Amino acid sequence: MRGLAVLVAAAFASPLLGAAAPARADGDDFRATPPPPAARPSTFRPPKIEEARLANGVRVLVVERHELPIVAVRIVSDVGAASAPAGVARFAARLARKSRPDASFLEGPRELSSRARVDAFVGYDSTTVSARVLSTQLENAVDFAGDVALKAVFRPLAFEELRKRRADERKRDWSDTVELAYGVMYPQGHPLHDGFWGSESDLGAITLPAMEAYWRRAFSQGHVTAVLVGDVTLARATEVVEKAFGALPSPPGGAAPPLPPTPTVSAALVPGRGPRSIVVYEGETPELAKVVVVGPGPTRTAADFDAMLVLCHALGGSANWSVRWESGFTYGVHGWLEARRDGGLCSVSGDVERAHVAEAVVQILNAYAKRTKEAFEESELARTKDVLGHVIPAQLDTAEGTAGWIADLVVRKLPMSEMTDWPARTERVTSAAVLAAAQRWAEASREQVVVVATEPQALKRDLTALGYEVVVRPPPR
Amino acid sequence: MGAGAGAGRVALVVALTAATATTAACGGGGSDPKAPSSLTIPLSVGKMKLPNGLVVVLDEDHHTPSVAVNVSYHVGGKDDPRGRSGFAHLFEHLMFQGSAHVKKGELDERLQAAGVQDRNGHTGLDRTVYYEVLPSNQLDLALWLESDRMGFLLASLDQANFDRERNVVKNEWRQNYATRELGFVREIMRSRLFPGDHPYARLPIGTPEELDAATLDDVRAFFSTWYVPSNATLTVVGDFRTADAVKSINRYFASLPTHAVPNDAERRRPRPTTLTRTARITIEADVVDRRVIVEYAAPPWFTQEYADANIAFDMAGSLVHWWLVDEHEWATDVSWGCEPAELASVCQMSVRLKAGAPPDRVLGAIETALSDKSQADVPRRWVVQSVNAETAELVFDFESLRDRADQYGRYEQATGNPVFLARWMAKLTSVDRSDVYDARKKYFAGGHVAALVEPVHGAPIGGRLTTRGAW
Repeated sequence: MRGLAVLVAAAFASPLLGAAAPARADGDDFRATPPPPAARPSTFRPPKIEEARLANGVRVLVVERHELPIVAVRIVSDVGAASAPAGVARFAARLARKSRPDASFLEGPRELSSRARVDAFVGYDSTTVSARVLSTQLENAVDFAGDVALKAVFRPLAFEELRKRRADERKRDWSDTVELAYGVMYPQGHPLHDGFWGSESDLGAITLPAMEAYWRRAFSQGHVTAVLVGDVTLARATEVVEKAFGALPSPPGGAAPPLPPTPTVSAALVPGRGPRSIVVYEGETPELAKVVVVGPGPTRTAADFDAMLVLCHALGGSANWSVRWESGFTYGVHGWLEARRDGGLCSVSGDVERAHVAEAVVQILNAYAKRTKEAFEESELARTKDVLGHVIPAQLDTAEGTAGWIADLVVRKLPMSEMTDWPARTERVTSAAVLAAAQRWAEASREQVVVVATEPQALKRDLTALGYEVVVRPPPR
Repeated sequence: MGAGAGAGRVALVVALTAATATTAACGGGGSDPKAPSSLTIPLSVGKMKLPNGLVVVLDEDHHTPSVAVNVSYHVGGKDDPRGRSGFAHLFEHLMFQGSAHVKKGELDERLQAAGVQDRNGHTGLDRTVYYEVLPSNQLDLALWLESDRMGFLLASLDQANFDRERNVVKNEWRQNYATRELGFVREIMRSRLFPGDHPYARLPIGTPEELDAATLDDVRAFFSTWYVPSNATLTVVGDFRTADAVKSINRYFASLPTHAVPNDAERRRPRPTTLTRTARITIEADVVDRRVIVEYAAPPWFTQEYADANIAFDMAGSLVHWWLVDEHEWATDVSWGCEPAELASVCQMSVRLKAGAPPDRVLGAIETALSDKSQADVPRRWVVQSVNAETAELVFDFESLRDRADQYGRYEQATGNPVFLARWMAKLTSVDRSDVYDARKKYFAGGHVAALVEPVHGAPIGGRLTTRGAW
């Protein structure tokens, strides 16, 4: 049976015919030089964010966009992995996603039917349940998200299976360079010293009650904001959020406790770190090595965060230019700055051909060294700021991107005006400010290098000959 | 200059609009879905064809001050020259190395200076796509850059650039295949699913050995054969004025030379698998879990037959998930999906086994879910749920400027209609229980490939074929 009518209308749009350019009126001279930007400036219009609050304190933030029948949902808590023993938060998120109390065959297709893609994940200072859904399925999706957030059942069997799986994965997946960098940058006892999953001993120490306590605290009164973006009104959003989250419990132990203090990055750095060292872990992949160069960074609200963001972005760009475009040693390296309430790391990382890893490390370190000694050329600074200045309009292209941005502002305790304030601040960043940030945060004694490569002793010889201090360590598994 | 230059460069713009209706039912609670309700997706594009054959698709959308430019060439891995697997993809990399008026590195530098938000290229089996998303007042820059590499790439070609970029591609192969968990499994399975001379028997990434065999002469021949306006679709989506864009597109593209690509009808002709039995293979890899992975060939993209097969396979996936994860607890997860393609689509299901789970019975469950013996197990609501799932994904694909531009280009090259979405959704929503039953008999009762992945410490993480542990 092929019953549905196809609703396609086609028409000739004659007014557009007159737009054709005269044939080769100006020859091919226009090919020699790039065209200037059009006079008409690009004007960014920040989304209009509407707000309501449920009686239990849940904040509801809504941006209406009705071009497509889509809604992006973020149920975000400002409680994150930093406030739990290592590994607990990530275990809880992984299990909560699949531990709904009424999971059944009927529920799976219900989720699929809406393509809600309900997910749960944790960051250093946030816990999120997210969904992307057709607006016709909004209530289903928010109900689903509410079940994941408020009714997750952490079953012993699933927990033990995940723990065993993680133990097996550790033997193979230990070489994530970001997680290794955390181990180098943060001392024992810091929530990230062994990454979001924790060490082997952390793995053994995680308990079901700890996970349950973490999850209940994350989704308790005083911590939860619902962000909905797309084909929805504030009234409708409030209605569906009220239905799913109206019974939000008080936090375990009474009134919402203050977030526990988390160590700042600078304070958490391994004390007494001398001149830069290169830590080489013995890898297993003969042809490819992993490299990360990492240093501390400011808090998201610090005065020099914007300058540091420019710096890290530019470091990634210049390292990629050298290692990829000029040398062909990699498929790509990139730089980024973690945005955290207490300060994240600035990193440049990528996979590099083993035969050229020493050269690649030197090229990346040279990029760092140049940045701590020389101010940006104005053209390079302008180029970097141009790219960063368009990050927000680009991310707000989609409902999911918009919801993600708003959720991040909530977690970082930033005002919604940040969407317009931040591009303006970025535009005001000077080369002197970037140099000052580089000298403060990226000076040579603080950034560290982690490499995962086969034949580590040979690499040590190569790098030692170039004047670097190299430490070879066995795989941390 | 070529045949397209001169008088008659007409900007004939046809405005196409599509309002798409589909079911939007809720399948929760065990009851039948609600009656279908209308879901409107307003699409309105202009389409024109330059005399040199370049198809242009324009979609004005002012919701954000950005514009996406997408150039899709109707050439991909399936067109790799014999003995040169991976060549179309290697060529894609060379398109970023400069052209007659754009020196090496300048493309990226200029896009960055313009505030580019996203730019890249990708090579599939049937298409190679280049795109940029940038501030809308920089539209002409993107058009200028794209036209220069469409028309004048070879002027900047040199051996050093070629060698370096070949090395980058080999590093991509190492990163995304050789050191990626089960990175070689698709390649191994495709080489069994299709006969050796089938264009889909290999993946677009190719092999390092055949990449090493490529020469500059191959590059010149490939460019001259495939990279012509008549084999491309230019799509612009975002914050621009159509009249201005048409003027600029004429300026930059209309004088580019062109010719017809060879054997065009032949190379688009569907080519189903010739496999008539279940080909069981064993792959060993340094991974944690055993897996059973199956691949079936399905009808070509965007046909009614593919819609039927797609829904049938999606329903089977749900069923297998229920049997193996929830009921028998043999598996930790099941993933499945169909990859639409021009000559033949491929549907894959992957089951991650728990310790002690019997692979034979897991395979049996998959084959049963796809067999014609279970017609009674096709509740109407499952069909509706699968249709909803598939159509929802289609809607999501049209949200961002970048993705929308890519979808227009894909539909245009597959069907000649950039807003084929409407018809495609109609095909999907027309699938009913009898179509699913028929699809099982037609497409999933014949030959397929079944791979058992055995964890072996020390084996390549990407996987390798073995005769040990045959099943």
